[in-house]
Amino acid sequence: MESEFPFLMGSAADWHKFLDEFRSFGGRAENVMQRKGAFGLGLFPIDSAKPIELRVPDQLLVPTSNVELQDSEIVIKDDDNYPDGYSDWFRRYQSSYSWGAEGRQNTLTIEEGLKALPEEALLLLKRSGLYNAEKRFPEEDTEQELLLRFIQTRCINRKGNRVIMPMIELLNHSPSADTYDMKGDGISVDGLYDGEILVKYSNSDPIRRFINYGFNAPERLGFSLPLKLKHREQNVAIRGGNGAAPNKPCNVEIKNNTIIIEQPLLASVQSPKMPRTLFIQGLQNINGINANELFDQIHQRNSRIYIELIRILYKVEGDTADKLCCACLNQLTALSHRYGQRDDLLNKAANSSKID
Amino acid sequence: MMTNPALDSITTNNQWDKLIADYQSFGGRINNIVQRRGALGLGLFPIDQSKPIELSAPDELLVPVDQVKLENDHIIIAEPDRFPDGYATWYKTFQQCFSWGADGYKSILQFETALRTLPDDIQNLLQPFCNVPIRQRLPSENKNNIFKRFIKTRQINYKGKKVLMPMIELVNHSAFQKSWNMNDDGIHIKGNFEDEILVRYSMADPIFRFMQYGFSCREKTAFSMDLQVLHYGYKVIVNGGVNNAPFDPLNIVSSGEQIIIHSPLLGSTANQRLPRSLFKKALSMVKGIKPDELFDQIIYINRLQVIKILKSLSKVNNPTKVDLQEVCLDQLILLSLNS
Repeated sequence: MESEFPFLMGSAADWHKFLDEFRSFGGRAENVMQRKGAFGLGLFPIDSAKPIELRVPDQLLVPTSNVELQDSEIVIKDDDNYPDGYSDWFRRYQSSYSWGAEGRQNTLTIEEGLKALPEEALLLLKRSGLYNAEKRFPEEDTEQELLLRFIQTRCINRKGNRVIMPMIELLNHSPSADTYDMKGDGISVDGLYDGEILVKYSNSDPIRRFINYGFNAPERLGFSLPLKLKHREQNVAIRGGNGAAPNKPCNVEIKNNTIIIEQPLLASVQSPKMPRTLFIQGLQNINGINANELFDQIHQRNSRIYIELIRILYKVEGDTADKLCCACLNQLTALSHRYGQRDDLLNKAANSSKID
Repeated sequence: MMTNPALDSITTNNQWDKLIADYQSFGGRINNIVQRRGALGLGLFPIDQSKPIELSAPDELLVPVDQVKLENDHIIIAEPDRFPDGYATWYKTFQQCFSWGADGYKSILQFETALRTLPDDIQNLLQPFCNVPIRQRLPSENKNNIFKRFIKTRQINYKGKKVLMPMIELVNHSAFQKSWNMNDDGIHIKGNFEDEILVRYSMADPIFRFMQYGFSCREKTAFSMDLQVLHYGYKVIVNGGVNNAPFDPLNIVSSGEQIIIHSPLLGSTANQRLPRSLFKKALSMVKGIKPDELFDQIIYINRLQVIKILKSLSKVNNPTKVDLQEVCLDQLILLSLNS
């Protein structure tokens, strides 16, 4: 008899049994199956006409500090606070559907691929604060390093803790999807899905999504690289990276005669006028600078670095070089989405600043 | 640019020496110059770098493009009587041994063939940067069509006419050099050169240079492609392409709800503030628009187009691929030089 789920890892019966166990601990996993899709293994609705439901209650979330490798399997270190049998289920879950299914191998492939890039590319990535092979994958304790990398791609911040979400971590990412519902008890995803069930993991830009997760996605935001530059005789330092609150004016402080700008949003597909607006707002109380011009300067430096990296990668053959090149082009695409500014918001900010 | 390996040791070639001597006998000037292979293929170099070079094509030796034709695969002067005695024969030899016949024909054919074999999506993406669709540039590999393209890569405007410059056309291009010196007497290059003698052929940006001449080269300016964009109720039409006077006030036509902008400068290495300020100044008279934002929109559309070309190129195997990738990356850099 043909399998109900032809691409399922393991049999359909195993999967259903697994879900039954998960439900017995208080979790929800309705109308979902695991199979290979366009992004590798992912979760799909069994019946796309019906809603899916996934929920991991808080009590089943596993802090990253409470997992370790034992005989090449991910296990819960201290299972006192979990329902009876949950740690055994978690071990089998990781082994059959997550770490053991594809997670470890994918992580290894990404890390080996990045580390094997030519020296010129590695130096530029390091200088740009994007990737440091010596720190990230020194290969002194390979399995432990892979575990750490794997966990970083699967964990989420929940009530001040970084936790692993069994079942929900099997979902793949789409920048245009909704993110997890974290309002109630636990973390959940539900609704109708025509194809693969996708969630937005987090706010990111294309280059950081690739470096941190190993896949390319057309992210809708663009953030800066860390930079030091001169602007109208003033020292300016940009702290690069994904801003935690990209819709708010960037934080700016002055230290040791240097203007330090925290993780400015440089581009937004959905709101191309906002990046410049937020930047100007963030810098409105800083004297001696032209925020518009500085914003353009930061863009210019970012573009140049990605173009330099692309030029290096064009000379290299290999899957990782091709993917990184694609990430750079995606980043340049994302960074293009900035034009105009919100005069209404800027006028409002200027007026309130006068009143203050 | 010529790339005939047979001409590598041209300094010892009697044909070159004779070519120079005959050229001088017609009134042309060529002093302290040798032809040899350099970083850009065959080019002209000073023999003694400590001394100035001189290369001049006097007015009477410039050949209007309507005065050349293709006969038995040779470029010849159509009406020899209009030129000094023996010049037409000399010119035929010059074209055959050092220009059209040396490499000109072959390089044009190779470049145009490569362009035409680019996948349709890339040809379509390049279209807004071209005056003529790629497939129509060289309708067939007929020699006469190739001849026409060749002329387009060598001609220059002089006293209201398009002319070919014997000898001077052997000089390679650099955007970072001066252009030819043109006066009533003719066209001249003079001065000291530490290495290859280079001139700036014309104002261009990397993509337009590539589409026109077939080589990739760093340029100092970026212009827009053809595009249309809606902006606060206006239909804005940008007629893209090279602006030969890029630092002059921008030419715009505003009528009703339509604005036509001709060849705006979008990026400049020499003065990064100029592209935006010229644009803003030209559009400041149009009510209800935001010139800064419109400038950004035009940059945005151009950038996305160039990035799309780069993305599409990653999937193809074509002789132009490497050059076109370089050209697009250079274009992207220039498109960011507009604080």
